[in-house]
Amino acid sequence: MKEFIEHLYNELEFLEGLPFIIPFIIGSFILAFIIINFIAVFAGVCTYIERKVAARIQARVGPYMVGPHGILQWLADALKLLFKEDTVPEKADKLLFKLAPFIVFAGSFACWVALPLAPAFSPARLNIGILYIIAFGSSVILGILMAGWASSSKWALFGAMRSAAQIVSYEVPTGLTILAMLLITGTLDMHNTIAQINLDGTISGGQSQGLPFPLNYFSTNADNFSAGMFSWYIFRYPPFTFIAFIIIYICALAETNRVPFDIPEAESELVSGYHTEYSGMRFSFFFLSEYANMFVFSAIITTLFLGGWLPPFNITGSLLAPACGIILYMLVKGKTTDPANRFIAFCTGAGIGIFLGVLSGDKNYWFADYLGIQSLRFIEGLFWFFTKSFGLVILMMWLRWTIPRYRVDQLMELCWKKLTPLAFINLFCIGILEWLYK
Amino acid sequence: MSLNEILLNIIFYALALTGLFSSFMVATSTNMVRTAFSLLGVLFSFAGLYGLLRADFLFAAQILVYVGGILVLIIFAIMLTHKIANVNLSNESTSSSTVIAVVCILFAVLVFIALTLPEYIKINQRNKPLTEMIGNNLLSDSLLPFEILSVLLLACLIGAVYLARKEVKE
Amino acid sequence: MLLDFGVLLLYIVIACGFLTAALVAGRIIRPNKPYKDKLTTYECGEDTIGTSFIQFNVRFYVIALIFLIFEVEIVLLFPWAVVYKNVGLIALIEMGVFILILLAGFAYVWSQKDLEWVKSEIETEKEHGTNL
Repeated sequence: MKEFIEHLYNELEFLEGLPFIIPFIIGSFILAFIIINFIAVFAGVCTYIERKVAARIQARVGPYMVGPHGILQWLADALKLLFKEDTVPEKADKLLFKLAPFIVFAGSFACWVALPLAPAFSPARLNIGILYIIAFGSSVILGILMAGWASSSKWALFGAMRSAAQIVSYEVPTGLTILAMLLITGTLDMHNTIAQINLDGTISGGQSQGLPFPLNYFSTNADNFSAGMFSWYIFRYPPFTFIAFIIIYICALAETNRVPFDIPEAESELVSGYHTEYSGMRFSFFFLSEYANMFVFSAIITTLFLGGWLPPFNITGSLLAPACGIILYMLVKGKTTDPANRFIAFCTGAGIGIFLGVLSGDKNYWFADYLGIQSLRFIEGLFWFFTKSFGLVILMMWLRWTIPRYRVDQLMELCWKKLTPLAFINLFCIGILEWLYK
Repeated sequence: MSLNEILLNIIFYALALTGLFSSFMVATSTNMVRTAFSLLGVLFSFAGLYGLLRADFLFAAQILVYVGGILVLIIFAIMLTHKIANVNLSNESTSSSTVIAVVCILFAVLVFIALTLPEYIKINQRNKPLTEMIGNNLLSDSLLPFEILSVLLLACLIGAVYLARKEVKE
Repeated sequence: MLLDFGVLLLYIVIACGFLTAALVAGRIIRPNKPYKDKLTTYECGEDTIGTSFIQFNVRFYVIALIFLIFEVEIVLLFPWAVVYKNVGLIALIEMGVFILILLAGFAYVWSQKDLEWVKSEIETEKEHGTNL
């Protein structure tokens, strides 16, 4: 963002006399306003998609009345929440009760500052990026504890305590896994993490050339074989980076209190956990920050593992994928009425298209470069970043309706006795590999 | 004074005042849980001051360890006490004269340190990231203290868990 | 760098401002008719028995303690991870020792069954907190 405003500041003449700080603040303010509205819309759309996914999995229709296919349902929900009475229980600690949503929401919104949204573009370039995000992410616990205690309700207090214990526990494997990835990336800056990847499988700035056997085929033969998505960190040291990805994804589910780890708000036991007593607008902000947190976690995983805003396929692949997908879809359409089968057909076609693209040896990845309009990279990068992150969010929803809830003791055992030792071993293995292959 | 400096001063005084006010609340509040949550303000404003000093790593570590760790521990400890049912439990504080004497001595020590500090430490004008410097230092000069630190942490872990268990048994 | 921290401050301020604006907007258009029954604590239609602030089990505290030690360790490892590429073998060995010493503590806690959430019946009886 700073670079962008600097660019404007140098080019636009009417800004000449002003000190730099003024356009900087105004620019940042506008961006923050856009992002905060994006979060609101994102959370709304997520609730709609979540209900549709649930309906699909349970063979129902889902919301259908507001707008075509119920697509405006989330807007109606938001309006309803705005018109709802906002009660504060008599026994509650009123000050803390009103303060808690602020801490939860500010904590999750502040995490967006360091996210690398597009090439050369993030709200601020903090050189402690990832550490900063997990630090502010953990401050959400305090808001939850505050809400639970201030409600002065048994459900809320139990939910808050369970939630805090759960988030705190799962932060250990998360931290260890991020450390393991840091050994590979060598920087805390979220932006550099992606910017230093070259699409031919090497990492610029460092000496790194090494994927171990057999995937080194992609990097050592970069000239005649396109790497594309194989240059991402998840493919760097195959079995271990995959394990790291799975660990951190499980932890993300636990830290955002998603099923199968939704014990803090298990509706059959605790009504709705720490926000049982909240209603109206205050409740909706807890809801909002929950979805914002889901996105932030997905964005961290996207940045560390899935190459952030880098395009995954070369241009041939990107063009062939939808084409092949549609052809296969058309072929299947007459034979089956089940949308799931059609979807599978489309995905298979897309996969074939991508594979053909890899085989073609095309080394253009950015449409922007191909067309010769460099600034298009911004939109392309933005598209890929949000597509990947959103894909991970959808996966979270899918899991919610597939896996039953864990028990508290199973959850703690999974964290401390399985994930933490595994994360330690993974850290050692990646450390040794990085030392051998760097 | 340029606009930047004015802004910096405003932010500094806002942070310092938040810190002071929250510490005052910590000291005077009669409600134990509110005391713990006032500590949140203190810790955040201190983190902000670290940020102003361009100590980026300390800034994040302060929030991660103190807000996300120690404060949660304190609140869990409060939830553990017998008298939590009696919410308006007051802090059993020592007599105010002793407190004032201790505070005065501490304040004098702080003023002394601030006055005798070498000039180059006072204003940190580095723009280099702190993390790499700390990392290099940990792997060269401070290697031994760092390893000793791990033994200290080990002692903390075993000791604290042992005490917590003993407390329950009794 | 200070500018970037400034952006962070701005975001926190804007988050709080947005929430306040939404709450004020809600306050203007929403109804506000509180009465005694509405303001009672939610308890599935029953009257709340006793206070809501019950004494919690010590296991929450123990978990938080173990977490805190590991958190400090992880924070200390961050600078190491950043410079790992440039230092090489010494860094690997040093951290190996550092982590192994702490893993000994982890093994101790594990062997003493402090990581178990549900303890055996006899042990549970000795504790006097709630079991939920």
